Amino acid sequence: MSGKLAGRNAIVTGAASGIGKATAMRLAAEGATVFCVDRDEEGLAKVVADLGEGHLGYPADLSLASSCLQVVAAALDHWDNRIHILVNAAAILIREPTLEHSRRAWDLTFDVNLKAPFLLSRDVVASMIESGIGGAIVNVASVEAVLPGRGHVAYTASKGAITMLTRSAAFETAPYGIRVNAVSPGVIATAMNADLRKDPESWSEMLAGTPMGRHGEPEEIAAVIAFLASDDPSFVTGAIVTADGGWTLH
Amino acid sequence: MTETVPRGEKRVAILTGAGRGIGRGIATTLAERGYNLVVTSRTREDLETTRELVEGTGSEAVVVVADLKDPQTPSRLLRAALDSFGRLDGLVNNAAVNIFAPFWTQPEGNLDEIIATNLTAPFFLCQAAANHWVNKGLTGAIVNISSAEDTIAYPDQVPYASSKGGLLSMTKVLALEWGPLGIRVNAVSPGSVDTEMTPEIYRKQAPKLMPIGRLGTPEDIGACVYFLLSDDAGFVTGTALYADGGYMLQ
Repeated sequence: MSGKLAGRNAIVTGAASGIGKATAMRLAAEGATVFCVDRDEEGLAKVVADLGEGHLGYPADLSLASSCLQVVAAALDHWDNRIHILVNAAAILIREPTLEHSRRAWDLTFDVNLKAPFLLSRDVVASMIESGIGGAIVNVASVEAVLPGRGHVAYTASKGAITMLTRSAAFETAPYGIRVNAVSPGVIATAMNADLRKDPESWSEMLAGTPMGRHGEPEEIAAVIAFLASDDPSFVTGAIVTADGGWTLH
Repeated sequence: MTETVPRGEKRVAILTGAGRGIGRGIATTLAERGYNLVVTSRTREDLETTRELVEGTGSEAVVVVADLKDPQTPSRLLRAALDSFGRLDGLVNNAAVNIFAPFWTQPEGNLDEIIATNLTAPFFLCQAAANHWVNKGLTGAIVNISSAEDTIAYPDQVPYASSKGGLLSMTKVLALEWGPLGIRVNAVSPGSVDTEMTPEIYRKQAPKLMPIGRLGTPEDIGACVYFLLSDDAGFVTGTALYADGGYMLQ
């Protein structure tokens, strides 16, 4: 297979829908072999069928630490200890008023949005250092880390946390040929906001403040992720690449 | 004191991590400038010393020994403020823990411990204070002690940096949501501060490392906290005040 990512093995979480799915498709199109992870078994099976031969699906609930450990172990086993790329795209957003935000929602959000990327990155980095092959990790943050939205405080805090996980992990792993970057999406049409898009008026009102005047598509974030996962940005690490149609310019 | 407090009457703040280091400096600075305090940490002995220092300024301190990871702690601290002083004006989330290890060797428990103390506990304290103010038709101010590490990376501290990145984003979202309620939420992000935990090498290198030529003192941080709690900062919310002697400019 030709392409920028030919011969690369990539784990993509949240691969059954949205940004994760678009990323799995894009990385495969560029030649990578993709190990797709999601808790949605049905959606995952469809994506893997679309990807075609050689790619894998691994159903897992990443809110469980044990599942995170199993994901990396299974991928290392399958690929003979060679993982070149990890994309942490899986995330949840729980809407609860901040004054009543529950501990359950807070903890679950941090388990999926921070602890899972932490555990997956940690074990993937350890394998990259051991095998000496280097690699690229791409996290999905959010512009909400700097320009917050209302009504989902745990999500926003978790995205601020993943931003600094990215920068500090990049700092430590740089000597080993490992780059750690993040994309920080603005408003992207995914299942996370499907309910909001049912009201076209308020949706377009919200987007009126975006210089590009529209929402983004998952494929537009996948394109940035594919770039960060490739060798092209070989001098780029710890970067938070904003992809938001200009949302945070003002 | 500011005009909203009658002559002779003191403001009241809850301060976590008050037994040592920066926390003790915040305690004495606020006390000197007219605050009565609820001081908390896990160690009674440390808190008693802080209490004596506070009383030496002519203010009062109530000692509450508590584990911030306990879900009952926010309501205990709130009750202590109201029972002892009959009011609450401010909350200072200062307590934090750090555990040093290379990223790829970090045990899962490090992340759990650090997020629980540095991020989850501050959120639920903010929530308890805000609910008190909202239910009573009052207003208040919150200062979260972050770190230069909410923005820049240091080695061997991925969980700590993640917690501070999350705390900074949390500060912003709370400021956004609670602005209309008359509750201001800001952060102070200290750089290297001279405390009993500071390695001697830092003190030796400070003239070269710090543009200002010295390490910070706990009282330097206390002065920033006092300002952000005060009415002088009445138009300031959702910001981080970097008190780092210019370190981040390099």
